[in-house]
Order: sequence, then C-alpha cells, then structure tokens
Amino acid sequence: MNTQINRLPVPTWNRTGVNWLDQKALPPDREYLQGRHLPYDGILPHGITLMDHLPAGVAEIKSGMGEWLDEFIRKGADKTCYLLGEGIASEPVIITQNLDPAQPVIRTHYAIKAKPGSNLTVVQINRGDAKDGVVENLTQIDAQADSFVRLISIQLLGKNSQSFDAVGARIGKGAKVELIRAVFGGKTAACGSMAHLEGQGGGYQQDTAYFTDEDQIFDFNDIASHIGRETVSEMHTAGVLSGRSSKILRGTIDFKAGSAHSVGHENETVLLLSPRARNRTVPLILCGEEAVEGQHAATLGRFDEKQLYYLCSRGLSLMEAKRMLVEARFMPVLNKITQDDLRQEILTIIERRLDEHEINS
Amino acid sequence: MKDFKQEKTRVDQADRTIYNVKDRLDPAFLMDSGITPEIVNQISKEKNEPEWMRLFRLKSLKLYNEIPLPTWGPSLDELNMDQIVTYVRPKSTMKAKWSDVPDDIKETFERLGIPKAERKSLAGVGAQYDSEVVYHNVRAEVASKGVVYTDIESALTGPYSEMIRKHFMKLVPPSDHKFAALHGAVWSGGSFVYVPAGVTVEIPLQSYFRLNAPGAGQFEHTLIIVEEGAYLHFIEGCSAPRYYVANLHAGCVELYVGKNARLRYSTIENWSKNMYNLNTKRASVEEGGTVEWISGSFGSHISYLYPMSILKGKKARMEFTGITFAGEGQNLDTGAKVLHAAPDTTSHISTKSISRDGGNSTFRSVVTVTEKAEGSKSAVSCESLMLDSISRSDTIPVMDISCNQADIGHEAKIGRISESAIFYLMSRGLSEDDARALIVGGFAEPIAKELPLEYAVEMNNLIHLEMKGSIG
Repeated sequence: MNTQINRLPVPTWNRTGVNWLDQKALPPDREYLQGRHLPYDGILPHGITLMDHLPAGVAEIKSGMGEWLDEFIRKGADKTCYLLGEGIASEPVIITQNLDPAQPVIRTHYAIKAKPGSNLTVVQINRGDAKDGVVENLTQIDAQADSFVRLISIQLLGKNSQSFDAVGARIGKGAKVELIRAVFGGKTAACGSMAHLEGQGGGYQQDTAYFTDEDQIFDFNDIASHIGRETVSEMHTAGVLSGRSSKILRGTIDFKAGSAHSVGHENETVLLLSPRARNRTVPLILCGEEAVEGQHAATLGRFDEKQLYYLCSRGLSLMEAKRMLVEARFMPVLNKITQDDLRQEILTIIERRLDEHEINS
Repeated sequence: MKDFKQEKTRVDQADRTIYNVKDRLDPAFLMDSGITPEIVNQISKEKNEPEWMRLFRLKSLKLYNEIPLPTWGPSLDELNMDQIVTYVRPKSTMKAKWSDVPDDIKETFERLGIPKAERKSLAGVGAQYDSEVVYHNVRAEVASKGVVYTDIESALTGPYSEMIRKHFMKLVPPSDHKFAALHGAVWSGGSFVYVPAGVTVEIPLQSYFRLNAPGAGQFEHTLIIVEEGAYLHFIEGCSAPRYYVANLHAGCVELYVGKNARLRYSTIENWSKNMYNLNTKRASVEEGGTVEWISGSFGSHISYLYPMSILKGKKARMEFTGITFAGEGQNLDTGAKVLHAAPDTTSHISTKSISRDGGNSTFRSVVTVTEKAEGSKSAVSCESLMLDSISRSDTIPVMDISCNQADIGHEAKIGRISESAIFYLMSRGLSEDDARALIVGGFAEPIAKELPLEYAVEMNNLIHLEMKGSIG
C-alpha cells in the first residue's frame, strides 16, 4: 500500500514538491492509543438515526488523502459516528470536538449513508488546542439515488495542533453531495477529498475557504472523479495567505472513460498578503472521454487596486474595503453556515487576521 | 427516417512519404551501441576535442549512471540504452556548398525542401545528418554584420572557444536530469549562433536535423547568444524515417538573450513514431529582453519537451505558443516552464492540443514567481480537443508563487467541439460539415499564424483535417 498522503493523482516534477503532502505537515511519528471505536452519543434530529456498525461497502470509499491514512483512521478511530439518513432531516446534525491537553488526540471515523431520496446536513466543528495535538477525521459518504448530503467542516484549532480531514463520497444516480469547508486553524492542516460520481446525473459541489497566518502550512488534495454519464462537479476554493505561511492546493477533475456528457469546473482565487507567504496551486484535468467539458481557472495575486479605489470612493476606509473584498471571497462558504454564532466567529477570525496583518506589515 | 449513426470526424495523418524515405546506411564511422567510458572517450577522440571537454563528458557520464529515470511522465521502460548507437558519423565533412555534399545526403535534404527554403527565405542554414553537421552556410551580408552561425564543433576549437566554454551546459547543467547528463556525455553536432549587440537579423536562420540510422541517437547541441539590443529568429526542424527499433533524440538548446534583445525560436518537430524525444531547451533572459518560443510537436513515439525561460532581468518577457498533435501510438508530454526571478517580468503561455486514435497528449507546466519578482505577471492558457474516447488528454500545471505583488492567471479547457458554435455557424448558412471543419481548423490557427508561411503550410499538411459527418 502506498503510504503517501494527499498524493497528486498524476505525478509531476519532484522538485516542485507538490506530488504529495508537504513534508512539514506529516502526522507525528509517535504511538497513539488504540482506537476504542466509541459510538457517537449525541442527540440526532428527526430523519437521521445512528447505525451500530459500518454499512457494507462504505469502508471502500476512498478519500483524497490516500488509502494508508484512510485505513489508519478507520482502524484506529477512538470515536465513530455512523449516520443513516432517511427522508428529510428536520435540522442539521452538529458535532463539535474539542481538543485539550487532557485529550490531545482525537481520531474519528464518520460514515453517512443517505438512503434514496433522503436529505441531510452534517456539521463538523473542530476547535481547541493542545501541545502536539492532533485531530484526524475520516468521513465516508454513501449518497444513494436522488439523495442530498451536505457536509460542513469547520476547523478552528489552535496553532499547536495538526489536523487531517479525509472525505470520500460515493454519489449515486441523481444524488448530490456538497462539501463546505472553512479551514483556519492548526499549525498544519491537511484536507483530502474524493468524490466518486458513479451514478448518472450525480452532482458534487465543493466550496472551501481558508485564511493562513504566521507559519501555518495548509495542504489540500481534492478530486472529482467522473465515472457515470451526465455528472457535474463544481469545486471552488478561495483563500488568503499571510505571514510566513504556505499552502498547496491540488484540485483534480478526472473524466473516466464512459463519463460522457459530464461537466467539471474548478476555480481558485488566492490573495497573497505577505511577501513571505508561499502559494502552490496544481489544478489538474485528466480526460479519457471525448464528450465532456472540463475547465479550471486560477487567479493568484494581490488586492485589485481598481476594486479598492472604487470602494474607497464610495466612502469606505481602505481597511473596510479590504475586509469587504476578503469576506466576499468567503461568502459561498459563509452563506451555507446557517448557525449565526458560528458564522460570526469566522468573520471575527477573518477580521482579526486582517488587522494583525495590517499592524505587522 | 434519418440514420442517427454518426460518422466520426477523421483527422488523417499527414502524408509522411518525404520523411519516411530511408537512405542506405553508409556511414563513415559507426560507434558500438551502448554507453561506456570507452565510447565517450572515443567520441571525444573522433572529434579531436580539447581535454576539458573530454573530462566534461566523463563527468556527465558518471552523473548519467547515478541519476534515476524520471518518476513522472510517460514510461521509458522500453527505451534500452544498451541498444542505442550514440555516434554515427556520415561520410561527409561539413561543407559550405550543397554541391559538395554527397548526392544521397543532398537528395534527402532536397526532398525536405531545405536548399529551396534557404534560397527563398533564410539567412543561413545548418543541416545535420545523424551525428554530424554536413552543411553550414550563412549569407555574406549577414556574416558581414558580425553574425556567427557555424557548427558547434568548429566553434569549440576556433576563435569562439572561450565563449563556448563559458556557456556550454551552464544553463542546462548535466546534473539537471538523466538525459541532460546523457547529452553532456555523448553530444555531437548542433549549431552555434552569435548575434552582436544591436544587430537585427531580418530573415531567419534554420538548422535542420535528420536522423537516418536505425537504432541511433541524435544529441545535437544548440547554443545561441543574442547580445544587447539584437534580434534573431531561429528555426529548428527535425525528422527521421520510421524504423521498428527505438531511436533517441536527446538534444539540448541553450539560449542567452541579452539586455533588450529579442530571440524567436521556432520548432517544427516531426520525428518518426519510433522516436523517444527527450529534448531539453532553456533560455536566460536579461533586463528588457524577450524570448518567444513557437513549438509544434507532431512526431515521436514519446516526447518529454518543456522549454524553460529564466527571466533574470527586470522587465524580461517570455511568450510560449505551442501545439501538440497526438495520434495512434503517441504519448506526447509537452509544455513549458518559466521562472520569474526579477521585478516586472512577464510570461504568457498559450497551448493547444489535439488527441485522436488512442493518442495521449499531456500539457505540463510550472510557473515559479520568486520573492524578487514584484510587479510580475503571468498568464497561462491551454485548450485541448478530444476527437474520440480512446484517446487521452491531461493537463498538469503547477503555479509556485512566493511574491505578493504579482498577478498570476491560469485557465484550461478540455472538451469537444461546441454544439452551440456549430448551431451558430449553421444559422449563418454553413452546412454542418463545413461548420465543424471551420471550427477544428480554427482551433490550430492561432499557432499557425505565429509560424513562417512555409512552416504554417507544413503544419497544415500535418494536421490534414478531412471532415466526414460529425463529431460526437
């Protein structure tokens, strides 16, 4: 088994350093407690029930982080949360995990099985901090025909911790999965998602927002694998880099033979605030099918002077204008967070980091 | 009732007859196959080289043996270096008149249209046959401006020897990758061009590389120095007849573009489909200088080709315009690399690729912007057209940005012919077939218009689009 994490689906020049996870973001090389697989004990809304075992076929749904890490988390999970969606859930499931010195390692295996026609939203919030703390999540989603699953992942860890967030989704006929991510914390944060668009007419939407500062290292590997006919993927990432931070985004649209009439779009906008920050973007399109449409675009750089000038001419201060432009980038993610206090918390983090950048620059 | 069975668009191979004519193998000297220190010493001895070059070759050979094959890109497992003949000297020394070139070799270049092109539209021509240059000439009026255009072996021992020593494999060091090391060990032939400061060479120079011997490698070295404020358009063409054993091309191109100078480097690569084309090209561009790459990749079994530009002076610029056409049995991995290492530098990469009949086309690039490159701009655009579902087309770009005062854009599109475009053209009176032909033809047109006329014609011959029925 290949043990590399966040592996680029097709490798390129090794000296670019993008073929797999940034070496500085590797998981700590030390012994963990063996997983106890303690089941989730929170309250669930109407329309979602807890399964006492992992449903057949779900363990095989690969995430974007690689088989080794998937198996490591699945086998060594301290907690499990196997959710079954039937019908339309009355409200989202919100699961918050807090890292603290007494519990410096959290390893959770989530499984979401959405029965045909069901509709559910799961919100995962990871916060807290601990010296050498680690949060490792694996979420495997089986979205059956015409179901809808929205997974919202909010990562607000402190700067002493590392996070690993692996997501794999099998998307059936007419089903749709949305992955909404806001990544702000951790000294390192690695995320890897893979959408297996197997059923005809399946859809996948991914919106990611991140804001790095200080020495943070973020590393993403997101893959939309079009297998069935007439499948659609939309992957959008917006980020801001400041301080001495660095980030790698690998985004891949993979049209397999047989995925005729499928469409995949991917775009990324990156704002570099600091001359010491480093951004690497690797947007792949792999195509083995003729009748498809694939497109990716990336815009990397600084604030648009014309936009700032316009906003300032309408009475905003320069700082207010910058804040507005940054918040606008994050709106696709923020708009899907229905919890007002959580959204406000994220806005506060954005505001604080912008202020800190202005003070330090 | 209408028969809905659709015929696929046919994109035919060009008529390769002129490229496939095989001359009788009649070299003056044929090295044993494989690569050993003895072979490397023998090549150096055959060429009567200075000692530093012999030592350079041996050092490169050591690196070649140490550096592994690339772990990315098309498989090179079937390339057996023990079966490649690294040096084949034709039965002719370099001539300055076509009439002095042996008839069979001259006829080969006549068929390829080189002497005719020289008469009509070139300022100078170099012609390499297997491992050695057999013809080199430059027009007197160009030479009188101080322009030097000669084979690199002559330059190595002539008045420009120090210039060669100063620049040879400095941009592409043998340690760069395995096939750069191979090149350093067994290079032979190629051209040296020197354009003095302020001189404009108004009509292009051309080198044409012909590989005739089966199972042979060609390792020519091209070194071009364009001094401050000068201009040059250099054209490189290459072809070989098809054999059923692997041939290898591992050439090296090093371009030095001076302050406010401009160099346009055009390549029409039409190697036969048993060729491994592992070529390395690199340019260094000083303040205000410009390098323009025009690249058409049509031949080869496997290609690794990514011209690199190092923008080391303020306001240096690069433009890369390329087209790749991958057909049956071809795996063409092409693209470009650019390093923005100075303020206000600009790069623009625009590529097109067409895949058909099981061909595999990959666009691969890397744009690196260092902390020093404030105010720099880069735009990358690649478009791929898939003509059937047994082919592949992949896009693998990397952007590595360490500067917060730069503007970087990238866009890529992959797909088939747009139905709405066909509908629009049909609404303007074109038949469906004509509309499709127009769109496919127009896809390659932005590249064709960058080429000199006769090469645009050659490219159109290579992409001969015969429209029958519809795509899809």
